[in-house]
Amino acid sequence: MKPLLHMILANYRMTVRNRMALFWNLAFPMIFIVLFGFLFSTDFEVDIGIAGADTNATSEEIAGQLETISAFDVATGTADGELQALEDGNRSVVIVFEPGEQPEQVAAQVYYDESNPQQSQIALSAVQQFLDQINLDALDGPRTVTVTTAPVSTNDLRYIDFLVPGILAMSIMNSGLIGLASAFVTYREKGILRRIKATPFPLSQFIVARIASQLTIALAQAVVLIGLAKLLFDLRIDGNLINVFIMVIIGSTAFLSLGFVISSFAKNQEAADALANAFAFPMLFLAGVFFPVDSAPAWLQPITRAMPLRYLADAMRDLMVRGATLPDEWFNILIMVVTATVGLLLSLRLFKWEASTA
Amino acid sequence: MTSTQAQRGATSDTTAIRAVIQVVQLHKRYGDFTAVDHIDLEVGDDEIFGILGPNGAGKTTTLEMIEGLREPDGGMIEVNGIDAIREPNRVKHLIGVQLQTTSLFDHLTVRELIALFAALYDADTSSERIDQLLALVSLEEKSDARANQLSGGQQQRLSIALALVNDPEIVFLDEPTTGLDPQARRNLWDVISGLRAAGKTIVLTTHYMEEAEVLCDRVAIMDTGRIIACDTPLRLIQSLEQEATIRARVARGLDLDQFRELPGVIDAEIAEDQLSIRTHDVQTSLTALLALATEIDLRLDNLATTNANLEDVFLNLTGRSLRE
Ligand SMILES: Nc1ncnc2c1ncn2[C@@H]1O[C@H](COP(=O)(O)OP(=O)(O)O)[C@@H](O)[C@H]1O
Ligand SMILES: [Mg+2]
Repeated sequence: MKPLLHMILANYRMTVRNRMALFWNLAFPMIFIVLFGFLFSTDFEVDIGIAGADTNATSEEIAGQLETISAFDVATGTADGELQALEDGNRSVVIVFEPGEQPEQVAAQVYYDESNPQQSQIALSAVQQFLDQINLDALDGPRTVTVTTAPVSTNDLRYIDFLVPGILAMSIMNSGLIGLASAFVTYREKGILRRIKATPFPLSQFIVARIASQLTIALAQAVVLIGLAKLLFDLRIDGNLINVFIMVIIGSTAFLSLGFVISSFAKNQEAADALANAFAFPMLFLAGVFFPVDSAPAWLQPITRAMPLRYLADAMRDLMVRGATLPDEWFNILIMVVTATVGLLLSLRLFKWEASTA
Repeated sequence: MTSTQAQRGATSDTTAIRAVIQVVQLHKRYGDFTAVDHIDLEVGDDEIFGILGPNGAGKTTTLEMIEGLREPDGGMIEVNGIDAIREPNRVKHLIGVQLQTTSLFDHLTVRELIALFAALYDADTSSERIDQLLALVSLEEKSDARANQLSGGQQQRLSIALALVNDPEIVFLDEPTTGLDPQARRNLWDVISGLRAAGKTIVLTTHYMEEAEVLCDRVAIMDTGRIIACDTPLRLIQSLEQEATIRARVARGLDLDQFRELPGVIDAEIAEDQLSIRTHDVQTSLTALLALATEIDLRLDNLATTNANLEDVFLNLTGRSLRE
């Protein structure tokens, strides 16, 4: 036990003293959270202006429902006043209600700002979905407009709540894939692995020590990042944090295992970094870290599904902000376990103690 | 090699001298290339045993097969009676190893590195023990420095300290002084002699004949994967018929034969303006040379004689120089 514990301790020391590792493991994801947190803190708040809410019972009901949705910031006023506010950029969309053909019906005219297409598009689709829902419900009976309380879309998640689980998944991937691969390749290049081999300390324990220290570092990373987001942006946490931490460990194991595969392939550190980045970079954008990929074009879907990071990001998000439990995430967990197993088997086959002397 | 080794073998059977390492017909190929060609070696207790040879002779390969780092293609290795090929892990506990090239973990201090390696052997990691090891290799002042901040000589001493963490009976040092300046080399020789005094058996490799001569009790001369001689440095030198080399700077374009014909001379050569005459009788040859110089009015600048050394032994055995 003593050799193993000592090796783990030495790994902690080295990580804490390694500025590059600290940057990638902590500063880098922190920068993302702070930057994106502030930049996009208002984007997903849809400012809605409503005019003519008092047209009839239906419009009153719709207006009331809109106000209960946290992603919508609702203001009411006259049609002229609200349209002016839209022109001034103070509203994302304005809904003007007018009496419909029958007493209980309303016609809703939705105005939006053409000069700000991204924001309007988000607002418009949110409102559209909401109104569609009401119309669907209205088919049930001619008179009663039953407005369901079902969440209209994921848009009542603030961006930060969407982002932080993704960033967690990203940093798990980075320290597993990039951190471990380049560390091991460097050890091999510098002859450190052979030096270890000359001692009675077994390779398996050397790897176990590395994994154990990386897992605890990943947990510390999760605590710091979640804490930061909670402090600065009042991060929404609906799930049980214990589950989140268990998922951190499962995900780390999968990506550490992929890091081992890369370290077994790569001849030198540059090659390891390049290879790890070649894996990591597309995943950053196509696995749903920064924005949802559910709505990505159909041809992209198979690609995003081939990315292990997607399953980790989904699981982290479900566990943190959607109140899911570990059994709910069995599929994502299964993918992580399969990734870890395949990676480990591959790297045990491919592992080399020494840099090949060409 | 055969006569001296046979003799040694015979005596070690009858006397109390214990062979701590025994290597029989060890060989190793890299593809078609034979790096170590069926060598026999026997290292006795408490001696400094040197393997002397030029780069590429197969020294590192030999050492690392004994250390369990490379797999032989055949032959037998016994370390303290343990079959090192079958049970490398038992051997690893007994030996200390310095590899020809290792850099160590960045971000750890000298003290932490020694403690870590001690822990990897499950050996004593107390701070007194670390202090003791630091003192043994005179690195007390550098105990809090990072390994990559050390000079070449200090790094070599650190790796010797790492080879001692488990208080091994046998220590392997692969070219411990290569690349060091003469001062650092001498410091390291003191450290290594100190290890023998502390009762350790040391096997080292070197391509410096002076190092082998000064430091080693016995030397195996290795070339192209074979051991071509093995004895004490003194006896190796005495086995030469040559006594010394006479050197002088002379005018260019002289006839070599007139030097070769001098009494006592084995051979003579001139490289540019450097005349060197190998002789088995310095007095006779030198007297004759001086007479010849007077006779043909030849100026001999920087005239000097050097006693025969291991370099000459190597030259005599292989027809090549150690450094090339
Ligand atoms: N891993 C290897 N693969 C192929 N050839 C090697 C390898 N290691 C050493 N050699 C070759 O074997 C020979 C002996 O090498 P080595 O044992 O390192 O010699 P020395 O230590 O005496 O310089 C050299 O010609 C070297 O190029
Ligand atoms: Mg060598």
